[in-house]
Amino acid sequence: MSRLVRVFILLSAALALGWQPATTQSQVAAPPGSAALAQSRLVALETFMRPG
Amino acid sequence: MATGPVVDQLANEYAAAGQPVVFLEQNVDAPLGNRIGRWWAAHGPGSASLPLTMVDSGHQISNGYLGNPGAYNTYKAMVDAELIRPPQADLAADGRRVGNRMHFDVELTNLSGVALSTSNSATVHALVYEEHTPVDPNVDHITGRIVRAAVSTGVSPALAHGATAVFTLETAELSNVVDWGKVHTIVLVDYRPAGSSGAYDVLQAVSADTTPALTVSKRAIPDPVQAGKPLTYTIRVANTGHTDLHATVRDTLPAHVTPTGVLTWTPTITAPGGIWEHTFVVTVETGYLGALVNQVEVTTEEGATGATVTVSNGHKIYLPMALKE
Repeated sequence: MSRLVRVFILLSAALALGWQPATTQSQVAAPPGSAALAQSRLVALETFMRPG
Repeated sequence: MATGPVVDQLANEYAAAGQPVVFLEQNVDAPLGNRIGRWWAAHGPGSASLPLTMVDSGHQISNGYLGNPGAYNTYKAMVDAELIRPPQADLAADGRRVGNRMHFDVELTNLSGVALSTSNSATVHALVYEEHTPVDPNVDHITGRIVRAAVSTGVSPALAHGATAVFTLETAELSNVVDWGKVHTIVLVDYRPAGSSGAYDVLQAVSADTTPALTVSKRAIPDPVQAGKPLTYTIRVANTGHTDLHATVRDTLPAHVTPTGVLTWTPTITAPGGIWEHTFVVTVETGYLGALVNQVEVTTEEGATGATVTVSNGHKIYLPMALKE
């Protein structure tokens, strides 16, 4: 078996197992709750007073 | 220093620092909505001294006259402790004026880790407040931000962790607003972490303010117009925001037309997409050959403004065109 054929078989097997060439950007999973953390939090201080 | 000035001082300091904090006052003898119930839920039975103060629907409470710097330090510590807590919901809210009511569209995504429902008293609140300096602190209110309306709706059916629901709230007619341009809104969602009793806590709160916006244009036909002939003006104001606009349109007519002077209209231009258009005819002065400069200015109670200048019979200047790649 020629070297070229062996490389082709190895590459095909690797791709079948999910390996991706380095030129493909891998996706990073967002941690749970990150959507909420991205939103600013508003704090309300409420006072109940009696005029006078 | 009394409590009112301390609250105002803190409000100014957090605003100057760009911190997302609002300080809201209600009359303890005429509370709006169910907000004061949150304070009592955290306090439990018994008596308390005024003022009653809470952050995040009663996650922390205070009561009684604390003096200065007691009140300043206590309230600041309460706020600062809440600021560093992560939100437990994703909240988007759009509050807009419809007539003299405030209408709210809210989208809530539950990220609390528990289901939100009537079983843990999960509630969506909308608060309307006005920045208003009290005329007489002995009569109307004490601080610079007074609540004008508070409405709420329970989270029902149950909202599972990760699920999203939409809510609609609307106030009654508001007759207590002095200046609609200084009305602001917040929306918050709270619940009882312990279940059906105990103190409430806020999952998330956001501003529901929407920025009022408009465009104004004016058309003059024909252009050029001959001396002594009629000139037709059309003014068009479009509401490009989400809030009804109570506008004043002021048109300063050119000097060499009849009629001349300033024309004023006060239309209400509804949202979304409302258009006010007005067409009228003037006559150009006999023998006048110069340019006719007309200015339209639009101001609104809500704060949006616009202006446009129309020049008829102006001299056209042709300039060389420069291109940059």
